[in-house]
Amino acid sequence: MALLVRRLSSNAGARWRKVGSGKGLPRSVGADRSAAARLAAETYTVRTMALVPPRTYRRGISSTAARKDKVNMTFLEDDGTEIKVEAELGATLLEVAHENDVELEGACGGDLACSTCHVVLPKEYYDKLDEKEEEEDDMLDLAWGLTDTSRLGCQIKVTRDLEGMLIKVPEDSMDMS
Amino acid sequence: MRWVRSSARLGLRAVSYKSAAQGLKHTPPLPTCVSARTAGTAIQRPTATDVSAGRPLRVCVVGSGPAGFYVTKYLLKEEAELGCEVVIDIVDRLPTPYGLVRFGVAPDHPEVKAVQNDFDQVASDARVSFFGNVCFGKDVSAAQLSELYDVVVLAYGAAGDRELTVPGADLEGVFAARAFVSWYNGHPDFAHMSEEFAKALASSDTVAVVGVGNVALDCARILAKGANALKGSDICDHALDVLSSAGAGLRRVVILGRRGHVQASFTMKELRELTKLDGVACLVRQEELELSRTPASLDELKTARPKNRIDALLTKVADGSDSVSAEAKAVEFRFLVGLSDVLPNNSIPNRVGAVRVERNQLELDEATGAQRAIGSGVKEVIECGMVLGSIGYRCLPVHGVPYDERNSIIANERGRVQGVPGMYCSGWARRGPSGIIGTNITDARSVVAAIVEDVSSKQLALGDKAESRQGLRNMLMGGQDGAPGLRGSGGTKKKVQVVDWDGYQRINRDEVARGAMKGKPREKFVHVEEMLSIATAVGDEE
Ligand SMILES: Cc1cc2nc3c(=O)[nH]c(=O)nc-3n(C[C@H](O)[C@H](O)[C@H](O)COP(=O)(O)OP(=O)(O)OC[C@H]3O[C@@H](n4cnc5c(N)ncnc54)[C@H](O)[C@@H]3O)c2cc1C
Ligand code: FES
Repeated sequence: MALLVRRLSSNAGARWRKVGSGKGLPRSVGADRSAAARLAAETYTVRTMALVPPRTYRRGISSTAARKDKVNMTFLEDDGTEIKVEAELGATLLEVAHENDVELEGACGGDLACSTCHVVLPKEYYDKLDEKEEEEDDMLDLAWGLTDTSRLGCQIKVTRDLEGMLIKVPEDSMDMS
Repeated sequence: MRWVRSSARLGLRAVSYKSAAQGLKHTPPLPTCVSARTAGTAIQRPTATDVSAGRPLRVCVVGSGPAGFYVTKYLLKEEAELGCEVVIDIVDRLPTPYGLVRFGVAPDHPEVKAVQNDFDQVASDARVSFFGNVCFGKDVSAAQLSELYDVVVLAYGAAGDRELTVPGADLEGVFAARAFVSWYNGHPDFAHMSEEFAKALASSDTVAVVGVGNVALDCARILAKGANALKGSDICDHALDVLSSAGAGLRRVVILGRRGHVQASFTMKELRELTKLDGVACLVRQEELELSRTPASLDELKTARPKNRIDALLTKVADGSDSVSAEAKAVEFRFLVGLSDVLPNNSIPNRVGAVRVERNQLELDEATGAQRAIGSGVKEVIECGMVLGSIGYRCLPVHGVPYDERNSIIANERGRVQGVPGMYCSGWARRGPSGIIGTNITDARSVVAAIVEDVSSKQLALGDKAESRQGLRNMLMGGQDGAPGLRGSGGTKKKVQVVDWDGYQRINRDEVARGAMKGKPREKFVHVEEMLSIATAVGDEE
């Protein structure tokens, strides 16, 4: 069960999306989900909500109070939709995004070969992360809307340090005319 | 079960949403959700349009490369917004899907091809049907598709070349890079070229690649790596044979850039890979980098991080280039050298023997801000036996589709084909041959937004399209036989042998099985006839 919610889209083509369900429509299914992420999907009871606060949707919420092995984070999609998630320690941000139906592609399945999982992080969190490998920088060079705090979502594992992080999915800013 | 939400305040529209989900194989049924306002009364679809009147939006996507698949993927997600079910037929001229992911992406980059898993999922959706081996413009026309479908999306890529036009470009041994790439990747149109490539490679130890994009770097890397390093990849056997025989004597691949390294379009990942090849030196000339660093180029380096990193890596490679022995197998970058002409081989006059290049200088065009290459008159001859022109793929015109001659793309505005309501385009056919697979995501999303906008605002007149999918089948297969794929009963005359998704799966399974015997991820079939007979084969199923 789930609920469809209109995405408050700034640009044309507002979309409807499903919330309140831990596992959404299959998306970017190329991404091989890690054991941890799969486990998370299977073992958490999901409360489906009837009421959704404006522009903030909470997903993947366990029926019990926040668990020790979970970290709270928020994804901010390019159209302003905020999606609050509880992320499994050790899962990658790409996996967390997919578990929670966040509009983030992962064309190469997390193999550092596509840059479609580009995310922008707040500086204070960015600084806490391990240094990027050279290969990640090489792929980031191809990402649209690259910033000083850009990372590839498939390369970042959830740790306790990331509690409260706001993850921005950058806008498609390409001129398509 | 219905979910009720009091969100009128937010302007959230209600949607009743049922039919779309019912056919899904892989997705759970979508729920019905009704706002408080309508909860009491309604199960009708409060849709953005009345397209539906109970029927789905019928869409045909031409081309099953990344653009076609991403358009399909994102359009399927718009059902709620469109207020109706969406059914999509994907047509491709080949029996196999994925476009350049199969026939472009290099065999030693399997991770890039992982995107096929994503596309498989899209194709397996019950709302999607694959029509392989159906050539748009030949088996079915633009007008016929417009007749059959509400929406037609052209995503047929760029199946032509920008060709070298210098004197001597018609000599034997001069090829388009696209031919070489398509050949080693097993594109059926190029499967016959093994002998020509073998002859060219055997005639000299040097290959010249004209152009400095990623395709040029792919060609150089495949040549330099050679058969041994590629034998565990999905490169075709015919290419392995040629590389291990005629290609064994290869010593040098020279990559020729008309302008400077700052203007080159290759990307860091491909460049770095070339600098790290086992047993292959990468050579760069410091003086050519210096020559490229004009004030305008330096400005560009300051602002563009990717270019800056490339500049740094090339400089490092150039520092080490002096110490490489002249005998070493090498890939050599040359910048600011323009191709003047291709010279014949001294003993075989109809075959290439060398290229003559001219030293270029950069000149700033004040009007456009771009830097042009201007010849200095100083020439140099580089001996070689094979020339690969890698100056771009080109989208070809198709009868009935407005074509923008200047840019060699489908004439379009934001993905709407000019003057043809209901017809859209995406990918390389829309933008020209640039960008990576991910670029097509942005592209597809914008086209899908345009479609949704047109349907919702009723810009798009939706006529009486009864049974598009069946209609297309009947037209192609020339009969009433509606059996999907190739299982037509004996009596029906088929004009076109359509390969459906199950048919492709049979080809896929056989390819993977053939590959497994040789320690490769797959051994592609390279003849359409062969693919068709496998696609039709009955009896090998579980
Ligand atoms: C050599 C090469 C290597 C590349 N490597 C990479 C890489 O490593 N990473 C990366 O991100 N990107 C890579 N790219 C870029 C990427 O492949 C393209 O961005 C992408 O494939 C373009 O998608 P498309 O759908 O527009 O075109 P295509 O992929 O070309 O798809 C077009 C489809 O239309 C079909 N078609 C053509 N004509 C007709 C017709 N008349 N009727 C019906 N169907 C038709 C074709 O058979 C094909 O399936 C590479 C490109 C090339 C050329
Ligand atoms: S998913 Fe491809 S680089 Fe992250």
